Amino acid sequence: MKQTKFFNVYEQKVRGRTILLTKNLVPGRDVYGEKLIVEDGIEYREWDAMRSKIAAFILKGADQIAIKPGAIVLYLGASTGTTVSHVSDIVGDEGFVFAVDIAPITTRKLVFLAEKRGNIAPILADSNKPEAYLSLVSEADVVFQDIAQRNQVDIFLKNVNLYLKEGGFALLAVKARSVDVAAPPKKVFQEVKKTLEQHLKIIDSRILDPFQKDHIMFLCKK
Amino acid sequence: MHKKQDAIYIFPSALGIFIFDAEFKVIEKKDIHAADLDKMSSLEWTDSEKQLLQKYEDKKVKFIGFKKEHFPQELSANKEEFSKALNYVKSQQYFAEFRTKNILFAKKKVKQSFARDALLMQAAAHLGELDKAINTLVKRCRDWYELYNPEASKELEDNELFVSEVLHKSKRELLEKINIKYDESMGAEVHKDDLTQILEIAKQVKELIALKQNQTRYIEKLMKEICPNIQAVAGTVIGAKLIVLAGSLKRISELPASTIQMLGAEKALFRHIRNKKSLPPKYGVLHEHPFITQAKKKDHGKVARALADKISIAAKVDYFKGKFIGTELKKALEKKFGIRA
Repeated sequence: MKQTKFFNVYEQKVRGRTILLTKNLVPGRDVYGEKLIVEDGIEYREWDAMRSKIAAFILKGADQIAIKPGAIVLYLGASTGTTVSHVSDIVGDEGFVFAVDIAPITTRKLVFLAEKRGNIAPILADSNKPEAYLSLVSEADVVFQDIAQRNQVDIFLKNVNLYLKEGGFALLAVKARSVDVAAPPKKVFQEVKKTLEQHLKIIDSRILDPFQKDHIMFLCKK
Repeated sequence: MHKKQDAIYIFPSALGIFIFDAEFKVIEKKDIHAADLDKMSSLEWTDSEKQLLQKYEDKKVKFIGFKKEHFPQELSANKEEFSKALNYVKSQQYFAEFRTKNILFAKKKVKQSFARDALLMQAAAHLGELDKAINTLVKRCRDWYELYNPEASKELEDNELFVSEVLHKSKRELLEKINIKYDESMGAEVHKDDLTQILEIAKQVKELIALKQNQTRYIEKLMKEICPNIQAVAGTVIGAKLIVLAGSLKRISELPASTIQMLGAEKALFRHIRNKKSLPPKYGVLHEHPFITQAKKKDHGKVARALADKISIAAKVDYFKGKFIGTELKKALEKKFGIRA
């Protein structure tokens, strides 16, 4: 196992494939059934790129991910906390994750996760109305969004505008089919890129195949 | 005239209401009640906020927040001021409190979000699972039982009848009923213990069938309480399936009739959208509705459309808890298509 270019993210070569891992903030516990590996007294959690778009982004060769130790992250579309848990591992005790999700059924799991980890705040709210959580969050160093909605770019820009610090980084995972079910994905990605460019500087973008079909991740700077 | 030094900022947060001076140093921090968070996230004024506005009314006050109710332009903070406030609370000393306050608030909101239709969804989903379980077990039961008495299994096509008969009647009795001589049966002789083992499954199936009937009655009762209009027009089974596919009573009340018509036919629908040569589906789960099964083939599309229209109205009446009009809606459809009740 060795450290990748990203802090708290590690990799292992297993039968020719690269497996990513993060250092477990809460040793002894798995979050969603992932494999725990102990090496030299330190526990690591396997990070499945088929389930986490950030891991897929890394495996597709991203040079920067912006999520690092000490970062304050606003995470939109937290769902049950699978990826949130790895972000929590990476940002560590000095960082913090405000995890927003719209559904009570998934927020329940987020609450359980937050109770076990000191750096997560669960928020049940509609990211399309970011004013609703103004009193619940602080400014963010990084905004991450993984929401499958038609107006996901709009939601992204609203939140980046209100909560991301100047010079901060924002990651947007786009599912082509959510934006337009019939259009060819490449066309959807072009449209999204055009819209983003009007407001932010695009640092990187990577299509997440084969880990996620017809998805792209944009890394932008405010 | 107000000088810059007189500027005061009021910033409500889960941590408390901060009063900043022009340089964003804290002049005052007022504690808030847990109940205030509810109002704050619903963009309503809290008493504490109103009190503070009054307290500092002789200063140049700017409010860093959003409210449903319009407030004067002079009171509004600008983007930069919002950023400064949010930046102020981005501090190690506050994160632990952000976490605990948010955990409490999220728990409260999750609890509040419960609506009785969630129970309906669970029960309806469960019904589908029960069907699968019953079918799997019955298949195995029959396979196993047919070693002993294949003729009876073949004769008793209905699963419910099959399990109840084999549990109460002997092989001889069952064969007599279908005029087959005991010795002519293809089935083998098995030990009493072996037969008991087979019948254990039959017992389970019987109980599952009873559970299914019990759950169906429960769903009927729930629907009568939660969505009597949908129940009247679509029927219990189809109505429950529609609500499950839509996601909730709220969601189905927001869907256009055309979407309701398609619920359950997503595979065919998207196939058509991606390739216009492929014909669009006429209906999803509505297919099973007696109005459609009884109608002429050429009228299926029309009936499906009209049915979906009425269901969409029924859903809205149910969600907004209006007067019961389910029977009228159904009658209108019966009249339109000449269906005798």
